[in-house]
Amino acid sequence: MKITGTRSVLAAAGIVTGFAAFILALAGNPGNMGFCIACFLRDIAGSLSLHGSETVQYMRPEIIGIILGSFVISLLTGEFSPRSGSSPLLRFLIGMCVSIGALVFLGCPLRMVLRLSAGDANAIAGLAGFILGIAAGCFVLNQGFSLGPARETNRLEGSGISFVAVLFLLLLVLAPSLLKFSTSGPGSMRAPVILSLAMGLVVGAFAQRSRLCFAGGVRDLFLLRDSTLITGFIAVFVSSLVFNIASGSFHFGFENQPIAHTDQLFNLLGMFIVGFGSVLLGGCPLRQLVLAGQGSSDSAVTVLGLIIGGAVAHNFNLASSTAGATAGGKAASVIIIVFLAFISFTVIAAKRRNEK
Amino acid sequence: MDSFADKVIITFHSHYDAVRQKKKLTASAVSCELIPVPRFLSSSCGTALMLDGRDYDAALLIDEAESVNIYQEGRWSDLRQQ
Repeated sequence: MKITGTRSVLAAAGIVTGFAAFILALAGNPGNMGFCIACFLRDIAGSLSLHGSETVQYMRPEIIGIILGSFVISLLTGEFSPRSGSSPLLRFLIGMCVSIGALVFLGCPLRMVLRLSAGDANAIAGLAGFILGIAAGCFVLNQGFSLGPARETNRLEGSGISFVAVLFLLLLVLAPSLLKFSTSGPGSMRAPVILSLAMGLVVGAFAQRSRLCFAGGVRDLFLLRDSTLITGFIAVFVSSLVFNIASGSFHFGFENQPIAHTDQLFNLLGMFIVGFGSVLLGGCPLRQLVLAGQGSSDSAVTVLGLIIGGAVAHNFNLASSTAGATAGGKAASVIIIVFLAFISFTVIAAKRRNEK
Repeated sequence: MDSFADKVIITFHSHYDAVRQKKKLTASAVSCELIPVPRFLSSSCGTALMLDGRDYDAALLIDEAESVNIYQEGRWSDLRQQ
């Protein structure tokens, strides 16, 4: 317990996130999906006509809120820091991979925790894969993997993604006819815009102040034997568990869980990709949104990769459904793991050559 | 934060750089510890090295450091910026 203040802020951020997710699911978001960064970015891709799956199209205000929450709080606290130049193309590609892995599992790390806290036992395989993926990521970090340093850039570059978020909000409110909206399926299940936006803003602000990151908590435990950052992960789980049990929403089991499948090997491999990719990127999808909001255009590029990855996952039938993982999704999972290993060892080999 | 006040905290561009420097310092009999970059220093994550304040000179010799931070006059300052 070295840095108790940091732990308290992380615990508060976790409890607020768990509460916001519970309220949003109660107010209309899909089951166990008060928040899911990968799913919501995929919905935004659909809303922008980047994919044609009619059941997953909506301009999710939660995403807009998280980016702007981080942007505003970092401006107010003087922590807005425009930076760029850390292997943006690799980040874009790894972002795509993480999105596809998440959609094979059917959730980002945040939704994995929400699924676990609602009794969805399929997420246990996901958690195992996530931890193994983070272990693989830690192994390559220890071998010398790095996407390179970012450098200071201009404030317009650093705030570009926040302006895009404002544009998306204006489209949603003033020109919805330009966007696509699902009339059935998960994309049609949504909390009121103002509530979704408000919850996103609050979670974005808390996540920026606390550095809440689902991959980072496990990574620090492996690399540094430090349990500070995992406090946020545990706080989201415990608070959501309490809300679910209190409201009678906790249903333990494998079958008939909301937007989940029982193909455990691909629950595991999907989240292995998310864990591995998140460590290479330096943070989970939620953390990428927050970093993008506070000025990292490398993370903004990663968010664009997550959006395009969501579109690719649906255009090429890689995303799972409640029936299970698709043949394309299974093949893509294996190819992506090989691709992430290839990137890792290529970067490590280059670093070792430079050291000689 | 008070528990860090008599320390030097060095941040790096990568985890690997921090690990390599720890090995070098340990070989030179300088005691140090790998820690997560403290929140009061940065809103970014990463790995930092923490040394005793008395090893201040050794810290300044680390070329790969992104920042070398000490607590002085009631706040943290990056010696590389001075």
